[in-house]
Amino acid sequence: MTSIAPSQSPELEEAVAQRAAVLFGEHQTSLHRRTDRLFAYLLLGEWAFAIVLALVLSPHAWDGKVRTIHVHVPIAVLLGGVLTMLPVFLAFTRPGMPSTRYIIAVSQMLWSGLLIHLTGGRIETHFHVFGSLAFLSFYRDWRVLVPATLVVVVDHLVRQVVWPESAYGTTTPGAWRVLEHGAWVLFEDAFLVVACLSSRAEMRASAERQAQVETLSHLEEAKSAALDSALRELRSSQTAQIRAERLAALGKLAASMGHELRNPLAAVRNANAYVLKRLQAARPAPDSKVTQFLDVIDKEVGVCAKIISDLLDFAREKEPTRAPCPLRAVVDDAFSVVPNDAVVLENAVPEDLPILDLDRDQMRQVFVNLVQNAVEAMPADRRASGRVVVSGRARPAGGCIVEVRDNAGGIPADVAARIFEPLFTTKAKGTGLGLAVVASMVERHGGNIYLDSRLGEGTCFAIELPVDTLPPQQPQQVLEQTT
Amino acid sequence: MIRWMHRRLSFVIAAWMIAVMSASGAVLAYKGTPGDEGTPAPRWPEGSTLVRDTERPTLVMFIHPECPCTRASVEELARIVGRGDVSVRTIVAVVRPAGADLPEKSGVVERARQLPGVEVVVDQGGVGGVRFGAETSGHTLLFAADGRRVFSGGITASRGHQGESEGGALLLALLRGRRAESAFASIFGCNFSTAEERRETP
Repeated sequence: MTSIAPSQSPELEEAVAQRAAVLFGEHQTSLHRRTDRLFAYLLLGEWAFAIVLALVLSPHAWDGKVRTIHVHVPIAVLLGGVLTMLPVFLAFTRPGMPSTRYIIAVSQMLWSGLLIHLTGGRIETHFHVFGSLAFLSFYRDWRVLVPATLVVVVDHLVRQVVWPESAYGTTTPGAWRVLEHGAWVLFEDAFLVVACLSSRAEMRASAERQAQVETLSHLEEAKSAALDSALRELRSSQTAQIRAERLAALGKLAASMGHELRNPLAAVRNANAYVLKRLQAARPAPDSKVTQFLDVIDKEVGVCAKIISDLLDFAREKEPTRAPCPLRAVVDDAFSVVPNDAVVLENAVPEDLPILDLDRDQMRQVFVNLVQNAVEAMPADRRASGRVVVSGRARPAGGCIVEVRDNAGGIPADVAARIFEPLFTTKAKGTGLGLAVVASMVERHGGNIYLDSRLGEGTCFAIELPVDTLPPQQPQQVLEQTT
Repeated sequence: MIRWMHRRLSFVIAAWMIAVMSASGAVLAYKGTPGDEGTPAPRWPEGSTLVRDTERPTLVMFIHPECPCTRASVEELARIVGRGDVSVRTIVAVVRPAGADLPEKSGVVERARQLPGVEVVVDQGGVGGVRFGAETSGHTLLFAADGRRVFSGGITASRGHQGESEGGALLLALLRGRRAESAFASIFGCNFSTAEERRETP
C-alpha cells in the first residue's frame, strides 16, 4: 500500500489497512445495492416493453376467419412476469447480496431470449445479449458474468441437442457452431472481466487513500486538540500568575495602608465619640444638625474601617483556626449583621448537617459577604419578593455543600467570568474584594466555591467543604485588631 | 411472507428456475409446432388465375395478411429472392378467408409490396390457396419452368422467427440449380381455414 504520509509506524499502517478494507467493503456494498435497484427498474421496464411489443406486433392469431389472442401476449405477461418478479423482489428486499445479483444476471440473459422470440428473431434483438453482459459489469464483480454466460451457453447446448434449427437455422449444425456463438460471448466476457478487476483495483486504491486521509486528519485533530489544551493551560497559568502578582502587590499595599490608616481612624472615631457624648450632655442642647453631622462622621469612619478590614483580610491570608463549627449557627450570626430592610433571609441549613472543623470567624465572614452581596444585588422591582436562602447538605464522600441562593435576577456571563477577581466590581461603591476574600477563605479550608447564575432568575453560590483530615491549625497571631 | 421467502431462499430459487424452464419449454414447444402442411399441388394447377413463368421457376407464397409469424417468412423471402444469383418469378398471394373481418391495410402485405420484382395478388376467399393446396400462412411453393412442383413448405425455422432455416436453405439450393434430397420443410403460420372447414373440404 502506498502511503501518502511521510512515515508511519507499523501499528498505524495496520490501522490504515483495516480502515481501508472497511471503506472498500462499504463502497462495494453501496455499488451492488445501487446496481441491484437499477436492474430492478430495468427488468420492470423490459416486462412492460415486452407486453407492449406483443400487443403491437402480434396481438392476434387467426384460425381461418376466427381471431384469437396471439400466444405472444400471455407469454409476455406470464413468462415475462415470472422472469421479473423474483429478481425485483430480491433487489428490494436483499439488495447487495451475491444471490440477488446472480439471479438478476440469469433473469437478464433469459430476457434476451424472450425478447428475441417476441420480435421474431430480429438480428438487432440479439444485441440485447451483449448489451446485458455489459450492463452486468456495472457490478464490478466478474463472478456475475459466470451465471449470465452459463445461461447463454446452456441455452445453445440444449437447442443443439433438442432443436438445433431454432438456434442455427439447420438441423445438422457442426459442433463448431456452438463454439462460434459461445466464443463471441466469451470474447466480450474477457474484456468485461478485465474491466471489472481494474475497477475493483481502483476502488481499493481509492479506499486506501481515503483511509490515509482520515488517519492523517485524526492525527492532526488530536495534535490540534493537544495544542489547544496546552494553550488553555498556558493562558490559565498566565492568568493565575498575573492574579498572584496583583494579589501580592495588593497585599503589600493593603498591609501598609491598613497599618498607616487604622490608628488615625481609631483616633478620629474616639474623638468623635467624646465630642458627641459631651454635646449630648451639654445645656442648652446643641443644634440638632451638629449631632447629625457627628453621626455622619462616625458612620463614614466606620465605612473606612470596613474597607481597611477587607483589605487586611484579603492581604493577610490567615490560615484557618479550626474547631468544630455548626454552620446553621454561623449563618444565623451572619444574618444578624447584614443590613437588610425588605429582602427575606432564610436559614435552611439543617440542624443535622455534619459538623466540620472550620474557622468560625472566617466562615462567618464568608456568609456575611455572600448574603450582603445578594441583598445589595436585589433590584428595586424585586425587593418586595426578594429572598436569599442559605441551605446545606452532606456530601456522600464526606464534608458538606452549602448554597447561598437568591432571586435577584442573575449575573451576566461576562461578569460571572471575573466575579472572583480581586478589585473587580460592578458597584459604584465597593472595593471589589468581597468575593475574592470569600474565595480565598474557602480555598484555605481546602474547599471549592462554584457559581451558577441564570439571567432573569437568580444566582447560587455553592461552597464545597471537604472533611478536614489535617489536625486543627494553631491559631495565628493577629497582626491588627479591628476597632 | 417475505421472511419466509428469505429463510427458504434456495427453495424459492429452485422453484423459480423450474417455473422459468417449464414456461420456456412451453414457448419453445409452441414455436416449434408446425402448421398444417396442406395438400400441395404436384403441378401448376390448371385454371389458376396466377400466371406461371415458362422460362424460369415460379415461386408462390401464400400469406394471411394478419398473421404475425408471416412477417418473418416475408423477410426470409426478401433475403432469398434478393440474391443476385437467383432468378425466379415471385408471387405473394394474400389469402383473405371468406367471412374474416380483416382490416384493409396490413403491415405484412405492405412489406411484401416493397420487395423488388415481387407480384402481390389478393386471393379473396382463399380459392387460390385451396387450388394450390396451401393451408398455412407462409406456405411457399416452387414450380419449375415446366410446371413441376419442386418445393413445398415454410422458409422459417420456427414460428415468427427470422434467420436461417432448413426450408430457406433448401429453397435457395433449388433456385441455384442444385439438387436437394428433400423438397419439403415445416410451415409455421396461421391457418387459412378452421379444422372443421378443412375436414369438410374434399
